[in-house]
Amino acid sequence: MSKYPEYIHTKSREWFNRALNVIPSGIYGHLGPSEGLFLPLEKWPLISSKAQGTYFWDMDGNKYIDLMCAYGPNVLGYNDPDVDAAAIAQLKDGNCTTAPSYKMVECAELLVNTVETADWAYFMKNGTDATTFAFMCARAYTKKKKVIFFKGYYHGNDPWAMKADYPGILPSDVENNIIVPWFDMDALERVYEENHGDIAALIAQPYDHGNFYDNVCATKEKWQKVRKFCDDHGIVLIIDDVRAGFRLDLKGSDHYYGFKADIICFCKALANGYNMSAACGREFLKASASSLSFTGSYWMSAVPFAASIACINKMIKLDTPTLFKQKGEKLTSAFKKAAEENGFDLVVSGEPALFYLRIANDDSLMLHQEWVAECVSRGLFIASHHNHFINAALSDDDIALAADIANDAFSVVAKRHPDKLIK
Amino acid sequence: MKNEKALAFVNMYGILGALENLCILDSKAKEILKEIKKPVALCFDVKDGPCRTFHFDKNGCKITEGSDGSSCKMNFASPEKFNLLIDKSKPGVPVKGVVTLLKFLTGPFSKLTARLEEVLRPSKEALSDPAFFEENTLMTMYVIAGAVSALANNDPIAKISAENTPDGDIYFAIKDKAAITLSVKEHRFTTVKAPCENPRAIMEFSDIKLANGLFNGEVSTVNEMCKGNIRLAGVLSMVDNVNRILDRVAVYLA
Repeated sequence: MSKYPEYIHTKSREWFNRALNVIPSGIYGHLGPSEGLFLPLEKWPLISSKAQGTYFWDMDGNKYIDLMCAYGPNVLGYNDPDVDAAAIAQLKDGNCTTAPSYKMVECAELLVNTVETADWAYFMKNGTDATTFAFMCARAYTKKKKVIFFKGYYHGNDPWAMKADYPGILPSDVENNIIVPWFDMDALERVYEENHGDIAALIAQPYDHGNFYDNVCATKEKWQKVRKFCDDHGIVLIIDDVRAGFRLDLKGSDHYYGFKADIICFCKALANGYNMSAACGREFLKASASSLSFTGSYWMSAVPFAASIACINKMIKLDTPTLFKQKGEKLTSAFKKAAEENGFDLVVSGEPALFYLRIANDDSLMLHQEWVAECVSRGLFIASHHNHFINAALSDDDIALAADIANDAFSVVAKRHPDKLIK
Repeated sequence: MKNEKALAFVNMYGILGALENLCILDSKAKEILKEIKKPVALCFDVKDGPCRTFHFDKNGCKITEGSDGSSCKMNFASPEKFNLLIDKSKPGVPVKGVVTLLKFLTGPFSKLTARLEEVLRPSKEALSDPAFFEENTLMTMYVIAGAVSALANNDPIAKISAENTPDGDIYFAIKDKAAITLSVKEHRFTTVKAPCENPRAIMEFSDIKLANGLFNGEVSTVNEMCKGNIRLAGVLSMVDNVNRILDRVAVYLA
């Protein structure tokens, strides 16, 4: 008998069926069953009714400890009182106005004072906007066309950042993309020569936090070599810090790894769920940034700026990167202990603030997916293919509860597969 | 955006490759096989393309790689020439066992390929028969299965997907009806028309009707995944990449 009974999702499923009638795939993208890998579907909550702190509730009233944090935006806790108060106060003063609010200036000043490499900030709405801006800015500055990516890259959904085999993408959309293995300096030099130096930028996440495989942390030494390569060849170094930004280091993940990006892109943790993203850059790129025709109807809305200011100030006050490291280590240690007690080899990889999990008893991830499904259906929301996220509202009691549910789920899976356990 | 060489592999491994399944599943094909008095091993050898031998006898069809054991052989000067055999029944150059070859080509082989076309491109009325609907679906699955590997190894865009597919076996099935294996090693695909014991990834359609709709492009794979009608498990990046290759299959088989 399981300690935590499985949830029932009758109402959530009804809402999802309504969604399927009017929205392609019901819920498309990373929050939906397809990209989110809800395997099997009936174990997942699908649609939420409310959220608070580190929890959300589905339409059936089931409560979940959320270690995906809306895939990153929940950095301080859902409905953080300080961020929400700032946003609501700004809403009363004005949001989307013809002359942008002074909050935009304050937000840019705060980013410039916080982020090590930032001499300026440019605002938009999503991570894709920020990476696309950075890519265009690099081209405008260098007058060159090609971009180097590290293998397994993900830098958003615009055609330039995708692959030729994706639906809707043409080979010509990505013909200027060059892909090399992470930190392979020989490959970098080789592609530079092969392309006769026609390379505008190198774009990368601060470390390899890709999906479906163990994440690989970077080192200062490796990044210094890449930085030198870019300096030697006049290549703009773009750091896509959309996912990891502010969770490793409030000065930027480039600072965490001991180097300075030319442009750094932020989104998820920037405003605790209020919709904005930003690219911050060095002085020499400011004129090129100004030259771009790149804007949007809501990009200068004031409410997200007010939320972002409150969010960044609170992250500074709490020293969230240190907090997240401690919480991440405590949580993953508890998961590993529970795994060992039940005969599982749970591999934890990546930075503790964005830990990635994989059960290694088989090589197909099927046991892992089964365990994740049993966790989710008992109130611990995790993912089988993606790194996780820590938020500041996650308490020691929450960690203890998460570990207990994880342990319960391990025991359920262990009973089904006694032959696959480590004795 | 079809590549002629890749199309030749699709025609050899997908379309003609399904002859062996036709001879097992289809009663009319079995009747045609009875006309074969002596076993015939027919080789199609395509310059800069595939080379396979089709062994026919009264009991069925077996396909082997290369020309070993062939009793008659037809050469094609290029993938384009071979593709004309499929599109316009334009033969290549007979180089071995000419008399047997011509007799077989104009006899049982033509009848079998005509029957294959009937099964793969049926009328609406024919599909109203549940048994034929099932046969059409299974045959389409075998064609697609052969085409997936053909394209993964030869189509410039599908090769990108193959390049991102880790090693291992993918179990591709219609529940309780049929299963095939897509075996991946160092980014090269091989189709095995049988289930595998230890798949690294599973993609299983819940029933024949759903599979038929998916194969004919009438329903969306992602939508059906979201409804839970497609069972997925394991290293889903493998399935994800196969899905991208299936998009290319649709282009080639359209």
